[in-house]
Amino acid sequence: MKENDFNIRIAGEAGYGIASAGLALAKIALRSGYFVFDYSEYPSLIRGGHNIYTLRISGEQIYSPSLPVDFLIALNQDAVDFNKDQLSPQSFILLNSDKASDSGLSSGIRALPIPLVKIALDNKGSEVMMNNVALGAITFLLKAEFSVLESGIREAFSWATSEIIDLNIKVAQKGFDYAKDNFAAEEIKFDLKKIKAKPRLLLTGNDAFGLGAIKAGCKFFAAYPMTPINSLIVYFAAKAKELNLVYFQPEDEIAAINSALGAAVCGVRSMTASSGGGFSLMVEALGMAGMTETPLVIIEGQRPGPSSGMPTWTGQGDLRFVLHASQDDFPRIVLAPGDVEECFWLMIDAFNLAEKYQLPVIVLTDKYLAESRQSINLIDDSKVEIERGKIVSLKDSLQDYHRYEFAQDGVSPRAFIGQTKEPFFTTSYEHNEAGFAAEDIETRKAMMEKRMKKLETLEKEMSQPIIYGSKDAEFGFISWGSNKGIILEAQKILASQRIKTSFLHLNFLNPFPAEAVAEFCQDKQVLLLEQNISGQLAGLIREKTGLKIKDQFLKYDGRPFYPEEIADKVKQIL
Amino acid sequence: MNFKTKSKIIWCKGCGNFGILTALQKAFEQLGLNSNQIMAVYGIGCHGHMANYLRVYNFEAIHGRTLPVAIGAKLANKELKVIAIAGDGDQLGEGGNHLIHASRKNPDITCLIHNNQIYSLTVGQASPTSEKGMKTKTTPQGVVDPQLNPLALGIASGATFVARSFSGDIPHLVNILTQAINHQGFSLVDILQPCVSLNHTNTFTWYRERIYKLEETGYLPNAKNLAFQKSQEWGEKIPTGIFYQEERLTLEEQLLPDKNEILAKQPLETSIKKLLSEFQ
Repeated sequence: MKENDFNIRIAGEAGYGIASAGLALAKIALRSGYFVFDYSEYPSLIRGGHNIYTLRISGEQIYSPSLPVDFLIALNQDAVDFNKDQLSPQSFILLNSDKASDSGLSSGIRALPIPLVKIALDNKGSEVMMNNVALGAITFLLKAEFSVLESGIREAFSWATSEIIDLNIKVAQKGFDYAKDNFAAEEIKFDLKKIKAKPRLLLTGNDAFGLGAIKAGCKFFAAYPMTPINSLIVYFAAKAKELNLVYFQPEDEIAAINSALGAAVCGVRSMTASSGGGFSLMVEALGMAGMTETPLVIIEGQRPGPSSGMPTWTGQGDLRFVLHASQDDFPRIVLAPGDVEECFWLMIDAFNLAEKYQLPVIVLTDKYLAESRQSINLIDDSKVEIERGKIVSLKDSLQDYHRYEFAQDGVSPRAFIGQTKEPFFTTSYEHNEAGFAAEDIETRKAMMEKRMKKLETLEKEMSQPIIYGSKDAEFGFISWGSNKGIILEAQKILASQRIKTSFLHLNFLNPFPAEAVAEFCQDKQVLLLEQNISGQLAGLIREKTGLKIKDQFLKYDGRPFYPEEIADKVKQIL
Repeated sequence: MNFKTKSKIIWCKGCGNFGILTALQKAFEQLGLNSNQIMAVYGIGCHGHMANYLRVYNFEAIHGRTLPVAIGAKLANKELKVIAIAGDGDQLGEGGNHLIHASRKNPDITCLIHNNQIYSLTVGQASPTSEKGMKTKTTPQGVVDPQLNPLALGIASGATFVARSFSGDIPHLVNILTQAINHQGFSLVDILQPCVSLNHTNTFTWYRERIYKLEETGYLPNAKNLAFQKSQEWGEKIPTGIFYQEERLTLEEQLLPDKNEILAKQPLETSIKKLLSEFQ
């Protein structure tokens, strides 16, 4: 076990409230002053499969899950069998003795048997309440105050009757008492005693997207349910009434993007979201956003494919797809936030850039980033600026307004349908400045060039990627999107072993910061990491810089990288 | 009000689309609308060329997707009169799913189907409304599928205004269009529109010999079962007029959080202090 850093895993059958128990535990740690990071794995089933929830708690800022698991709460036998390889000889198991035994564990691992089901049933609870018995026990073992758990349960069950809430608190208390009578808490070298800390936020990537979109002034969100963006939909829908927003549930993803586009041409900041499968259906309308120069934000939550693939797992296999989706060329922006904080801030950028350059902005996330919670310092939203770009309004004289007027920077002044004195014309056909269909050679060439010019203009004011770690390191990581936090953690491990590294994190993938990447690669050995089988970023770097990155660590098993395996990989190749 | 543009019209001489364009312009005039109060969303097909001829806010979308674009626009700015203008292949083939759900959701939008029973812009393939047995370029032995019935589909899916008219009878079409646009809710108008170049079966003469007006028979469009039954009539006699009409809350009335405000005119600045505090 690392000092001041503790990994708790709850494992058992789907449908046993593992996610809600996990959230309650995360909130206990957060409110006791600790940093937390959680990560869930579950199959695409409602009941019966094996679910795990892992919570990492630390006194210091943390950026990803880590291994080994220090404390396993095993609700059934599968929980022991499937997770024992990720325990260390110093780990503990809180073992549900009603459903599991400790036979076959490596030596050193300490089992703490507790009859979770029996305790729940003896106290007039139901079997499913065993998770709260376990929470009570772990609260004692980590020396946290029961009152913090109690308020956590009240919050988690805010939808329930006071009878149900009281019953859940009662069984948790019984679990706490059982642990007190039978186990020695001091054996566990980690505790959750309250420490002084500034208040923090506990957010998933989806939460941060929701907050960012709302802060950016997004008022129309159309999305068809699909893992892993469902919690974003639920959040936006829940806040719609209170904040004067519209969540529109369409019949399919085609209607999702087309309705968002319809709202956008009328001047509303609009967004849609899906995973790769749903995005596939959106592609034709993506091209229409490009051709009609309509600002639109599209969130694409990656999961392993192709086709239905592994719906509840993670991956980064859609980079090439979103870069090239649709027929012919048009400018688009592709962003890939690295953590929940970037999810918030890049959402603001996404809406500003979409309007400033009148084009679709695709924001790539993945199941790991979308659903994992990270504690972060409070967001200072007073720094948010809304930039709408060139807008003409009713006040302006629009006698000769042409929607697609040629402009030096490629950006024609935009007007909103329904808000001008005279109507104007918008079309998915190639068109002239006035928006009438046109196919003559001159117009076609000029319009293609005008649209593509926007990307050149943008490139000039694009911010450069951030490099983390030692400037003078001879070894560097290159990666994109949600691997950021995991690589930062790997850098910490390597630094503790006196291996200096630097890390170029790419969250802006189109336009591509070719110069910065080429410069980074110049004077060091580089390891590229991404979660797909073909090295999509590696290919992109080759295309944009001519550089071939030899050392690649590619993972495509549906699981995120772990910092420990990255550190091991570096030591192998150095 | 002038609803004409200066663009040269490139429809075939005698095309049924001319009648629809004229009728729409007259209907807008009769309703006293200004050109900046109307948004027309088009699909792709011969009908879509109207985006260059009708002077309102035109948005020529992609094939089959008029309705979702129209719904998004209507939710964004409920003061706009939004008209979705589609073809038969467009709305009933590629856009069929959207028609079902728009009927169900009841946005205050008018959907026109320029129904010429053939794919004309691609020069003569069978469409969902081509008659069984009709020989086209893709059905050299004759169409094998039964004809899709847009009126029956609309009624069954919950459309609150379902009508049929004929592009060869402009006064009737103007009358139907004004009522459809005035209707609060989703109005579906199937417009029989002869294609003079590619459909040599369903011609102006063919329609004129068969069409009769429901309103002249004492028919009342207020009973769903009867409307459904009436929508099945096709062949020797083809009814036109309003088949069905009912009042129901619109999508905007139910979904827009503030009934008095236009979403597109709301300030973008929002405080998220309270939202953030919920994550502490």
